[in-house]
Amino acid sequence: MSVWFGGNNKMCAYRHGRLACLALIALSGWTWTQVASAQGDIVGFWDQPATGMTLGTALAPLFGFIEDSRERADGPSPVDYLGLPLNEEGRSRALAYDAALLGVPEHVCMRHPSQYSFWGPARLRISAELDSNLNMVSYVVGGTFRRADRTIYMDGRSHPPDYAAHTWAGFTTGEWRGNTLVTLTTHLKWGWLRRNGVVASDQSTVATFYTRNGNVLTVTWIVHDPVYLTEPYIKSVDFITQPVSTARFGVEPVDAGDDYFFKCFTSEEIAKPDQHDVPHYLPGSNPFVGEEAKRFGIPVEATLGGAATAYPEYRDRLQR
Amino acid sequence: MSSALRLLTPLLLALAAVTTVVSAQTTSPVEPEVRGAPLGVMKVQGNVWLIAGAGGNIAVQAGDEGIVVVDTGAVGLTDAVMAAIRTISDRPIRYVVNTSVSAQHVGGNAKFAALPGGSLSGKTRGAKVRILAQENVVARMGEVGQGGTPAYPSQAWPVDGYYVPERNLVFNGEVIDVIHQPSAHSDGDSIVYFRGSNVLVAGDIYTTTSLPLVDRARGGSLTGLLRALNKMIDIAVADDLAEGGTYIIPGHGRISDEADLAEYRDMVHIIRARIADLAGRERLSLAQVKSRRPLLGWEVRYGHAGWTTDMFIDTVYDEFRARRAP
Repeated sequence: MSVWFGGNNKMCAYRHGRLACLALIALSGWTWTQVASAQGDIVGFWDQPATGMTLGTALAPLFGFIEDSRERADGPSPVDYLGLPLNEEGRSRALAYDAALLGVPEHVCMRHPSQYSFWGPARLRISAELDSNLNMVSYVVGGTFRRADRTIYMDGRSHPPDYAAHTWAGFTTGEWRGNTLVTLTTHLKWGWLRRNGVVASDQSTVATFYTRNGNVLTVTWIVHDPVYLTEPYIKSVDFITQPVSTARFGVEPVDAGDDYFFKCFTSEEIAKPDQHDVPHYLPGSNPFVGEEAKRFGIPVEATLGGAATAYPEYRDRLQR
Repeated sequence: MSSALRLLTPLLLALAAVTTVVSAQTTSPVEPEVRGAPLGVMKVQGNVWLIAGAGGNIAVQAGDEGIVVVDTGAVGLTDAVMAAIRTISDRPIRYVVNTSVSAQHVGGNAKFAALPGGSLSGKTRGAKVRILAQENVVARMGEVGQGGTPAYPSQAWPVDGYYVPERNLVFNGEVIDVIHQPSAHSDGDSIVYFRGSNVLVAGDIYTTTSLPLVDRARGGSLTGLLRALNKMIDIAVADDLAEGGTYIIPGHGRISDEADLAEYRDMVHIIRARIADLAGRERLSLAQVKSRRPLLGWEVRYGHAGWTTDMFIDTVYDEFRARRAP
């Protein structure tokens, strides 16, 4: 797994990637200092800190976790790619996205893929599968939107050949390194990098780091996508333990009633004269370009993303 | 060979020759590089397997009655293909179906045709391997080239050409639909649907490795290819939460499901709309269309040296060029 940190096209080979890499190493170092109080096992029920039932949104600020609540709830604005290291291909692809695509029957039930799923709405249920000798075979991470449940094989098996099918969850292997579970996911479908039309390709791979500190589970993932990104994309989110007394296998009652999160039946949501229409915007015609910039008083350029927009010095550049 | 085909074959051969001359300036797609042995063998589902690495993908349906093979790979790899088939089943090979005339899909035909067939159950006809394809495949394999010889030896020609929209058979207890897709990758494309196994074989209409393989010199078109992709989407049914269900074996690349097919269809739909907008509505020249990069978003993912974005636009531009009033 050391290959994820070195060599060409790997995170640490990039200038900005090196910064992210150093940050990750620093994070790992910080994690090691917490070993005494940490619990390595990630099995259990985990909730989102800011929007979950455990704390309630009113108490969330007191807990110190107002984290990505927009992304973890209703989702981002249509053209807001700030901080995403998109290349021109990725940007063009994102700008072609029309949200009406989700009304196309083939797309109605698409899941949040492993390139994205921990960032979106999620209440994790992590279980362990043991063999007859009680040796670890795998972890299963469920609870992300539309259940792209991720099986993390811990038994040393190899990844499938390149002609095998890809899935929304992908194929994942893992190993414990100190207090952190480190996994590699391949064989992914295309899917959201951010759920406003920014996609990762089916050539992308994801390295994920699960670190537990007391009742907080920090999940950090790095998306390598040679198709749509100029450098690896790194993101982290936190989950908090959900006490058994409040844990449910389902979701909020309001959502559970219609199985919104975990079940889906394809239907025609929009009557169209052409059964096979694919809603999209032609180049230069996306009406949402500039909307986010206007709202926050920032240049349009910043909302279109690119690696530079992920770093603090970008603010200085804009001011100049 | 059906009597209708026998009567039509000379006409088709002549028509094909004329078509070849007329469209000599169009570029034919070059399929991805052949990987070669060792070949990959993987069960897809039901009675259907994939053999990968022999040029075009090969599908194998195996059961008590014998074996159906969809496409025969590139020339020179047939022994490896047959060895791979023998890892799946030792029953006799009874049928070969060609999805198109592409070299990486018919290269092993002659060797397969030489195999003894033989019915073990008495339910099937004939003693030799029957090669089935849409009749335009037969015509194009018999096209006489510059050296005065046919493109393929007669032993490689499909002896069972069909000219109706759809040919159906039952083998190993499951219905197999062989459905013609006019003017898609070429004019002789078939998709093959194994109903019981719920596996659809796409041929070069759908690949996960290339921009759309539109072979205009052989009667293909981007519009027809898009129509064929939508036909496959109509056939395919996803399992729970947009995954699995019907599996699709592409002409090249990995095993797919409806979600993968839809992603590719979306790409074809969008780039077709872009090119139609530039070449048709804006009346731009070929060079101007290229300069606007209508494939941006998919150039890196699907372009490759044998079938670049430029070659693709060169090929399909005429399909959308604004027609001047006579």
